[in-house]
Amino acid sequence: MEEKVVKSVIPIYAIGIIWVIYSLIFSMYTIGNLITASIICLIGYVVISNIIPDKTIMVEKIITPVNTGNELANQYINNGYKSAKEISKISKKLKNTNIASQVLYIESTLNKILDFITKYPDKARTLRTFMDYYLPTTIKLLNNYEHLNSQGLSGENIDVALNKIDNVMHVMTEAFTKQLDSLFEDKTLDILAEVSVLKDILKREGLTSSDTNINIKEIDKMGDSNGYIK
Amino acid sequence: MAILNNKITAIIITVLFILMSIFIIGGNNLISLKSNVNTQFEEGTYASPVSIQSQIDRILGQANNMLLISRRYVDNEDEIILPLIIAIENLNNAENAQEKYKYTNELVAEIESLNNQAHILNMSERDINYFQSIEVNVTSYNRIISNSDYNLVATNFNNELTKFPANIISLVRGIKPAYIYG
Repeated sequence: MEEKVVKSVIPIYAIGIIWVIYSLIFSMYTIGNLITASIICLIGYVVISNIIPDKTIMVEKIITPVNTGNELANQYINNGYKSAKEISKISKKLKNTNIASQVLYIESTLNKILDFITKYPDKARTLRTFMDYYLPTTIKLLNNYEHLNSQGLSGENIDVALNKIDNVMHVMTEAFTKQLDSLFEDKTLDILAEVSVLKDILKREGLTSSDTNINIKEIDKMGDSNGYIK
Repeated sequence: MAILNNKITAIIITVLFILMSIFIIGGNNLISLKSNVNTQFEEGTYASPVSIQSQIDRILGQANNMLLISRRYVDNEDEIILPLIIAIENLNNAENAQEKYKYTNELVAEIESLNNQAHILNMSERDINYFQSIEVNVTSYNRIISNSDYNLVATNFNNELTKFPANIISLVRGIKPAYIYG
């Protein structure tokens, strides 16, 4: 799902209403009155459009085939968006269930992962297990949950299965989060390296004041002995 | 209600509103304008009180009086009064201003003709004088008609019908131009 800003249709209807009111007062068989009515309607449209705010609605993301230049990345992205769409459909059906918020979170995280891979297709190789096993299994479990939930029954077997899926979804949300976080590992290393180089140059040039030293110390605290963020 | 929130639906409904108001309300305005033209012919207006129809009715009245007097001297279907009878009938059956103009002129001509032939009927002097007064009256009524603003009003209406968008509205609504008295 993605946010889409849509203009209100009220200003369009206002044109029709203004036109009808005008035509009840003035004769509409003259070109002069037609032009005047058009101008008044246009002004009315602009004024009412400014008064009535645009609406933001959630719409399904339109999937267009992506070509990143990396075949594996293309495959993961295109399949991934299809999976996201499927999760979105399941999410609608599970609106009032215990796992609704987790499903939404998983969908949102998956979209972020796919957006990342679109930008950095080389990272696709690190997603092999995630895309080939975790994602399809998650969808399978969600489909099962939806199927069992739609029975509208409360039996021993159904309740156990639903609880199990509910529990595993907590784990899956964490797994999705960690998967997204792991994608930023290289980026983090790059940032730390840049900070370290900057710090060295500043020291060498004697450009660090006491305040800057404090800041550099604070930056140092962020990384461990290997330069990784703590 | 969701369909009303659709932009395309809103545009279609608005366009229908606009077209309907042009063709229905605009068309009614044109019909009303034509009705004013007819009122001018039938009754006259406050601004232009001369009514052609009322003068035609007077001419018809005078023609009937002439016929009544004539029948004292000749048979109902005598050829001397037959053209007058036909002219009266034609004028009574005339449906529009153009036809009324044509048959009024014919009737006036027949009145003059019968008046000129009054001596053939061996009429009394009183009736001859009455015939002459009828001719004078009819001429006078015809002159009043010529002062009517009807043709001006009808021409203005017809001009309006030739302009856009009245030409299209009149085509759709079947509004025809007004007949000219002439």
